[in-house]
This record gives sequence, C-alpha cells and structure tokens, in this order.
Amino acid sequence: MAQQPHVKRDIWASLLKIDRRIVFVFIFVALTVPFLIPGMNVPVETQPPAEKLFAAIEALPSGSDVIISFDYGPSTKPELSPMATALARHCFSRDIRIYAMAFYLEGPAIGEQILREVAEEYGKEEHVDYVNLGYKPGGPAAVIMGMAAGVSQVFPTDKNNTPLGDIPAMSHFKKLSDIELCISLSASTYPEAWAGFAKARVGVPCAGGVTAVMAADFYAFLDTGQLVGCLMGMAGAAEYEELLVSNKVNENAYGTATQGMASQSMAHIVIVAFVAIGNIAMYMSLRNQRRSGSRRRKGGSRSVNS
Amino acid sequence: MRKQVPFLIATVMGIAMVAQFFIPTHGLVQMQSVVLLYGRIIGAFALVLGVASLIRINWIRAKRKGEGWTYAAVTIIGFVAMFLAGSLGGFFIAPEEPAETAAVTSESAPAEAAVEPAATPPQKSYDFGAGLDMTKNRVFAWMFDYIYTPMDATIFALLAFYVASAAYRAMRARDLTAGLLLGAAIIVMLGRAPLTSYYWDQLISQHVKFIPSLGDVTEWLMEYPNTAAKRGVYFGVGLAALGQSIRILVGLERPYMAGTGD
Repeated sequence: MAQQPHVKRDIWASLLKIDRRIVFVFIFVALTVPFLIPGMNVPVETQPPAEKLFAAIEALPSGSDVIISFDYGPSTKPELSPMATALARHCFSRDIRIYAMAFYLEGPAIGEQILREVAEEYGKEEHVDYVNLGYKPGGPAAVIMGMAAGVSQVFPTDKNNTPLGDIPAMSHFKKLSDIELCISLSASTYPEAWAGFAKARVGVPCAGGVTAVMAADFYAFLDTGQLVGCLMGMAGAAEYEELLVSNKVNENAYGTATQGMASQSMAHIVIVAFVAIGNIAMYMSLRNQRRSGSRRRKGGSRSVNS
Repeated sequence: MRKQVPFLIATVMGIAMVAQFFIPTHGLVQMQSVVLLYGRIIGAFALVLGVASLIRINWIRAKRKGEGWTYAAVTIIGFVAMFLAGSLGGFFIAPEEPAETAAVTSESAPAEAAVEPAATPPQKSYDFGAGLDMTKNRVFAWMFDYIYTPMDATIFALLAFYVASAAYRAMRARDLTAGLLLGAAIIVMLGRAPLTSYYWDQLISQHVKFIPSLGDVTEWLMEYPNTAAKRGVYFGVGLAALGQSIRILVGLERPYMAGTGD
C-alpha cells in the first residue's frame, strides 16, 4: 500500500516521455484508416476566405481571363493541386480562359496535368480556352512588371515553345491589365508578391491559395482587400469543392481534398489528444512532486523536533 | 575608382527605381522595363550558376568519397537523368500515326479520308522543342509522376509525423502565456478539422446559445489576434527594409561589393 503513490508517479512520468514512435503509429493509423473505410466523408463547412474567392470568380462575366500561377512543387501538391482542380473547374464552367504560369520550376508540369484533365471534362481546348506559359526565372517583381508592359516580352512562347502569336487565346491577353483575376497557388509568399505588384501597381485583383502552415500570414491581406479571397490548406480546397457542389457548378466536384478531410480531422484529434496527455501528465507530475516535497519537509521538521 | 563606380551605379539606379514608383513618367517607366528585363536575364544566369554549383559541390563530395558521398552521387545521377529526359526527350517521342492509318482505324472518319494521302508529312521522330511537353514526352512525364513527385511528397509528408511528436513534447502550458498559446492552437486545430468543427456545432453550439461555433472562433482568432500580430511584424519588417535600403542608397552598406566595400 505504501508503494502506491510511487507507482502513480511512474505512470505520469512515463506519460510525459512517450516514445515518438508510438506517436508516429497513432498518426499513421489516424491518417490511413479513414482512407480505407469507404464512404467516410466528413461534412465540410465553408469559411469566408474561400467564399470570397468563389464569389469573385462567380462575378466574372463569361469570356474573362484569369491567371493561375502554379507556384509550388510536388511536395505540396496534395494540398494545392485540389485547389487548382477546383478553380479550373469553376473557371471552365463559366467559360473563363485560364493562363497558367509559374515562379516555381516544377509548377508548369503540375499545371499542365491539372488543366489537361479538367479541360477534357469540360471539352476545352489548349491555346483556345487555356494556355500554359510555363516557368520564368527572375523573381516576381521582374516578371509581373514585365507582363504589365507586355506579356510577349516575358513569355515569347508558351511552355511547349509555341510562339504566342500562334495561340488564339493570347489575342485576349497582351498585357497584365487585360486580366480580370490573378490567383497564385503557393507554398510560399508568392501571393503577397502578386498583391504587391499586380494589385498595387497594375490594379488587377489578386487571390491566393496557400498551404495550411502559410495561412496565418494571409489574413492581413484579405482584410485590406489586397487579396479578394484565399484558399487555406487542404481544408480550403475542400471548402471550394463544397462550394462548387452546393452552388450546382459541378455536382462531381468532390475530390481528393474532401476525401482527405476525414484523415486530416483524425490526425488533428490525435495530436490534440497527445497534447492533452502531455499537459495532464505534466500537471500531475508537478503536483506529486510538490506533495512529496512537502511530505519530505514535514518529515524532516518532525525529526528535527524529536 | 573600384569603390566609387559601383557605389555611383547602385545609388543612381536605386534612386531612379524609387523615383519611377512615385513619378511614373514615360522615360522612367521605360527605364524600369529595361532594368526589369536585365533582372530576368540575370535571374536566368543565377539559375545556371545554381545548377553549376550543385553539380560542382556534389561532384567533389562524391569524388572524395567522404561521409555521405553516396547521396552526392545519387544527386548527380538524378540530375543527369532528369536533364537528359527533359532536354533530349524528343528522342523518346513516338512518331505520329500516319494520317492514312489513323483514318482507317477511325470508324467515324469519312470514307474518302482513308483514300486521301496525308496533307502534311508525318512528324519527325525527334522534336527538341517537345522535350518538356508531357503529353508527348512520356519518359519525362513518367519520371516526374512516378519518381520525383512521390519522393518529394513523401519527404514533405513526414512533416506530419514530426509535427505531431514535436507538438506533444513542446506544447505544454507551463505559464499563462504558454497556456493561452496552447488554447488558441487547440481551438484552431479542432476548428480547421471539419469533423470536430461539424460535431461541435451539432452537439454543442446549436443547443447552447452562448457557445459560438468552432469555425467562427477559429476565424476570429485568425482574423483579429493573429492579424494584429502579423501586421506588427509586417510593419517592423517594412520599416527595417526601408532603413536598410536607405543605408544602401547612401553607401553606408555595400552588399553589392561582396564584402570588399569597406
């Protein structure tokens, strides 16, 4: 009986030092199991940043021109590509032309795959309904302001070396001011650069799609109207898919983002559970330490008195 | 002269670029276009320099066979393989099906098209420009889709595991400020997860009127306390950048001299 407090202390102490491999196993199970259970869909509630972007595209008349800048690589593809797919679906459903470009070397290849797939869905043609201008080094300031002076100065050809003069869609896009909306999908601060140059200098509305870890940075730009809307992480992509379905733009728009929401939710719950365990264990350990300390002090004072 | 000329160029160009921002006259705007063009050209050279540096450093490391030399070798092999697949990818492009065969195989084609010879000659088997066209260059597309993309995504996906482990270890409410941070983090994490957000609303918010929805609380946290803090940081960074720019313009700092300005 006398050893019971000691055993309790050990439990809390061990809960304070859970092996990281145990955490990994729990996260692995939380991420994979929802994918294995068919029909495990989570209802998605939309938030203002995604709703604003949806409304901005909805407000564009048919035949408008939109830039989608694929400023990301394969590492963030699972988060950002569902956004690109949903945005392309929305644009093509409203007969809006898309001009793809990239400040990221791998961006054009990712953009090409997405645009080709969505264009097939809507019966859209490359060079007529969309153009992939490709990657351009030199930094956003030089490229965006160069496009403001003339697109052909910066992109003499498209990604596959077709001269811009041979591309019918480019007759609508000579300068950046011809564009109605610029959307930068990025794992970095490129939407900020678009807002800083395309919006501030040329007056073209801008929007963003960013990874969840970057999301906190962009609320300031949303409040000021420098960005008309923003998709934040995979949840933002799932919200956009939900908006497409609920507004009857595309009833088959649920994609990998919505599928991933169950996994993401479970992973968040597991992380919060571990954080809670860590904090409870810390609190209990400190309490036990205080109690044993006071007991020791009492014992010590008794022996001194005796 | 070695010090004065670079300083004069930097100062004059810097002031001119600032001036065109506030006084957008035709001449200054034209000058800005030319400078930005140079910027793009130099940017392209920087890319070449970066690639050359990557190859050189890894080549030396692989040659010396020191610690981790195999990684350097794999980097070079990967680079060369992707470079060849992309730039010489035209060799792998199958020649287009001749028009006659295509017409015969297509049931919907008119009968005369099967008889008429093709108006244009069949595409040559090598097309340099099509090297990066992933619809044609299947070797490059395959390498991009099935080697590069999964590897890059895997490395990034590992972050989820490390973040979970780090959150468990680091997120402890040791004092009031840490407690506030922890509380905000938990609300945002649960609020950004549709499952918890939805069931919180269904089971709690809809029944207890004074408890707001988790999504609303998350948005409030992100929009007000987060934005306020971020704005402070942005203003600080902006002012620092302004101060640094003025120091460069007046020649107090000369980073363009690569450390030889003093």
